[in-house]
Amino acid sequence: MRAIFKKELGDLMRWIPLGMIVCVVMLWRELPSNSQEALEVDSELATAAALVAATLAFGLGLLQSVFDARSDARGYLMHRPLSAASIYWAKTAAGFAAYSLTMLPGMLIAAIYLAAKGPEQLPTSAWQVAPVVWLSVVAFAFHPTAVWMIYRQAKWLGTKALPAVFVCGGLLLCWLIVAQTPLSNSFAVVSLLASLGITLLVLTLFAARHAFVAESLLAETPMTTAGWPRPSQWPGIIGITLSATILFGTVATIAVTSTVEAFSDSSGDYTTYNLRMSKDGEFYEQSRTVENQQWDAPTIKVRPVDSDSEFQTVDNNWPAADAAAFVDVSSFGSHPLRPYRLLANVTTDRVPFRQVTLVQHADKLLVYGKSLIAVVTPEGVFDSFDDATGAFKDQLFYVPLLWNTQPYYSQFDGNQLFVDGNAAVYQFNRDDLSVTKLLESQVDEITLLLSSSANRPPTLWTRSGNQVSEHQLETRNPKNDVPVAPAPDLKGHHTVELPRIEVTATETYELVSNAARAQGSLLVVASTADGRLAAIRSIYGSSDTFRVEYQFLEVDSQNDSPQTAAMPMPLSRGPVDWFVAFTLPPLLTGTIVFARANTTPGSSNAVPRIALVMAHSMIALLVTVWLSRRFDLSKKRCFSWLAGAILTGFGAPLGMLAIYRRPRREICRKCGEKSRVDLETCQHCGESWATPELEGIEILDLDATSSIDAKAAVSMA
Amino acid sequence: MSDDQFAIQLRKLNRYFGRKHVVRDLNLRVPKGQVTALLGLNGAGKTTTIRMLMGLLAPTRGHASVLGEDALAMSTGTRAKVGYLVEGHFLYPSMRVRDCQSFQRAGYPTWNDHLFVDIVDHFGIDRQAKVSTLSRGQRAGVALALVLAPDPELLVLDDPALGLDPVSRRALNETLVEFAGNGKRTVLLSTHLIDDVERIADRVAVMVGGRLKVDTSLDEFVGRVSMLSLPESSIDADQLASLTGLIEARRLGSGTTARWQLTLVDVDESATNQIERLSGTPPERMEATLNEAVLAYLVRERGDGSFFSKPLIAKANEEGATV
Repeated sequence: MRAIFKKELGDLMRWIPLGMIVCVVMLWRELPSNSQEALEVDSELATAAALVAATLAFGLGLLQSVFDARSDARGYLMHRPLSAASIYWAKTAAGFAAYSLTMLPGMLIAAIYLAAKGPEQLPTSAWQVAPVVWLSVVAFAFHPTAVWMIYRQAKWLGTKALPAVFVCGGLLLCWLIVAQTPLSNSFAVVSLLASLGITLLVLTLFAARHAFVAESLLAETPMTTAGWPRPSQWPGIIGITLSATILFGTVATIAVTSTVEAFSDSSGDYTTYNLRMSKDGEFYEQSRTVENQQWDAPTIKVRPVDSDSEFQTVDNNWPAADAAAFVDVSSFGSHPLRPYRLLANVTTDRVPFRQVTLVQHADKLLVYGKSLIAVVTPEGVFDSFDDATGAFKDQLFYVPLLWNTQPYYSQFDGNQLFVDGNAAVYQFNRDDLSVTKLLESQVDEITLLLSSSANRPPTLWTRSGNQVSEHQLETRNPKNDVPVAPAPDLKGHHTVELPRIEVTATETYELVSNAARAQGSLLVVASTADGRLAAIRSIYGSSDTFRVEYQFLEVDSQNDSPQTAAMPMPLSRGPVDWFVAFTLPPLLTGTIVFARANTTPGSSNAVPRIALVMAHSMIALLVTVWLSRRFDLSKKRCFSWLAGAILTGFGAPLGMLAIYRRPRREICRKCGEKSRVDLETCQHCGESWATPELEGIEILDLDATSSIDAKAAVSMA
Repeated sequence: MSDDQFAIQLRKLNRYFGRKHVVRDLNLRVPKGQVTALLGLNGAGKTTTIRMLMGLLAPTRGHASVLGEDALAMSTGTRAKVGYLVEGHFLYPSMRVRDCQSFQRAGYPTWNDHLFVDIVDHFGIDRQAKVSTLSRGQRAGVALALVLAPDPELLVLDDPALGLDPVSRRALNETLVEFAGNGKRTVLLSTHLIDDVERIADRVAVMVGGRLKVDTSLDEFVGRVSMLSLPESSIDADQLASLTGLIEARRLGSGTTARWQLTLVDVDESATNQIERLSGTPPERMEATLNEAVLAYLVRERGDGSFFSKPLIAKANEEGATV
């Protein structure tokens, strides 16, 4: 094995410098020069590394297999006192060694650069290369994929290249998790990444091993058709089936959506529905229609809640109560592979260019301009990271308060609010770059309710479980005005300057909800006429309607349950969704539909989707049965594929087409039926294949060729 | 003979490539301690058969065993006892000769460095030379040295003399004779060179169109094939086709001197009488050489004669007349 490893590595060594240069250049291009770039460096590096690593691994795999697939080279390589599997693993190990040597310098240079720059100059650390290392390990799956493609039996280039689809899909998913998806649970992210990477690598390594060891023997049927699939065959079967499923799902979804969009009316109206309260404390259903994509000029209509009357168009002067939407701060967290988190870009007079970037790193708030300006903790403001003492309790969450509150789109500037790990609310003071604690209590959701009346000051609202708290505010500097909501404007956008504030009093209300764990958007509204407060919760599901719960907020409320109203869903893609549901694997679609139906009581349109899922499965099952007969698969194999068809839909029969070949048949001389040539006896009559007739010129030494058939044949002649 | 007296046993071996039935119902046993030559035209199925018995290609149907083990599940221990020279003397071009030696040596318990050096020196090869700079004959020498150095019990050679000059061929033959000379080692030699077979083989097997037509000792083969000569005018082709044991009928000469040269198997008195009855003249008996006997079998697979559809002289005459 060592000799093979050494030889293979020696052959690959000549390509390593070239690959090394490409890798270093590609990664160097992504290294950051400012704090904005630095915060995205992990995803940028991961993207570049994934491309380079996949190409490199695939190239090395081809180099190591194309040449050896020739019959003379293969004969020379395989005939030695080593098992075929050992030869495969030795080649793969050499490929991985060469691959690692090629990737390593680029990653080392990036790690050294990032470590040298951070955190005093840029928000960087060597740890940001970790996603690159991990993605590079996973991208090595392209090496066995190349081997798998070369040695697997497939006549058409399309089916020969099918394994690449599965590996591309897997790597893309890993890249999305690393570079894009901000998952909150560190354990979940690491577990998901590890299990995905290991599954991808193990499947491709063992599928390629089977192709190298067994499929390269070019048996009459690429995979035996008798009995259950052998354990060594499963990785290939799973990989090809997943590839076919991904390919069919992608192509069919694109085809369906583009076809529907091509024939649909692109100038159609887009209407959303909400429940709103007027200033006199009455609840109304509100529709907001955007015509011809004129988003700035919607048509607003209202009607009393739960009435069958027509919606009446209203103008900007419709007396809507002040409202603010809560911002959920309970489900956000850090990405375990990212040591720095961008919180916000805020304006300040402390720097000439008036904008700084707030970044959290190691429970501290770092303020970056061109380089590090300050390190902020609850204990104070520090010039250097190493000098800073004190720490926030948990992850900081910037409260954007930029939320579609409808009718308002309010954007706050000035002294921003932060929530520290759902346990405290801070305000960032942009003048001295310090933070001030406003509240110390459990916070799941938070919002700031501005009043359009000068008599009613703004209030800070927090929700923790079913408790909603209203916090009265005052400005710390009496010279500053409290922010006031702009005049009622159903279509307006506003920027509100937030001065330094402090909490003076708190009132708590009980939210009553039919939902055990009420989910959905929460809106708090205030009626200016009599000062009544209300909460409106929209609970979305998969049905054509969504449920709205609303209640007045009173200190000693005797209500046991909220009032409810059913509203049309803001957007329903209708038939497009149905067709897309038909193209996706039944297991995936069925799970989504079932989960939605269970989480959304009264979901009415799950039935047609489930019918479509069933139809997909049924058609796939029928095609699978037909193909099983065509490929003459055993009952056990047929059952395996039927199970696959139930789970993956058309992926299973497409996978069968890519894996099996129709066995060659010839007419049996005894029974006259067509029988498989790869069986020792006729599958119909059980008779052995007839020995070819002798011509009378044969000279066969009976001692040497003493098979019974030969003897019999010669004596007959 | 019992099964353990055979190094290779092929039973009802079949192989299809798509619709083409390349190897048909092959039953062959190679006795231990003998040199067996496997002969056949290009495409007769020799290399396919060898790949199947080396466990590099799955048979469509049938069974191949080598040194008592199923060829497709050959253990590493058995592989170490089998030397296999692939067609074309394949070696990795980037290696030096000494690298080939160390690469091949791994895993062979009976590897003999001295033997390797002896053979390489015999072919006049510099061990520092890169494989890519070697001549075809030198590559053959290195390939042969790599196959012989582990001192295998069974040697399977796929066209080892392909492209070799006469001197290299002689060196190869001498090496093989010396290797198999003591009767303890078995050789299966696939070749097109019948002269070489006559020098080194004990047995001969001839494949025609994927089927085995001859499998016997060299002496018996030559002894059972006979050649007869008749005037061409005495018998027509249809009558010849009815002759029992006719391997080949070849017309020699032209005009009144044209004669049929018949190659037949197991010619006895009754066969001679049958020919005399049909032709009216007694056939003239000629001695058949191994070369002629083998060629008689091989031409059954492919049409014999010149590559030109018309004789060149006739063509030249036609052109001259036109001009």
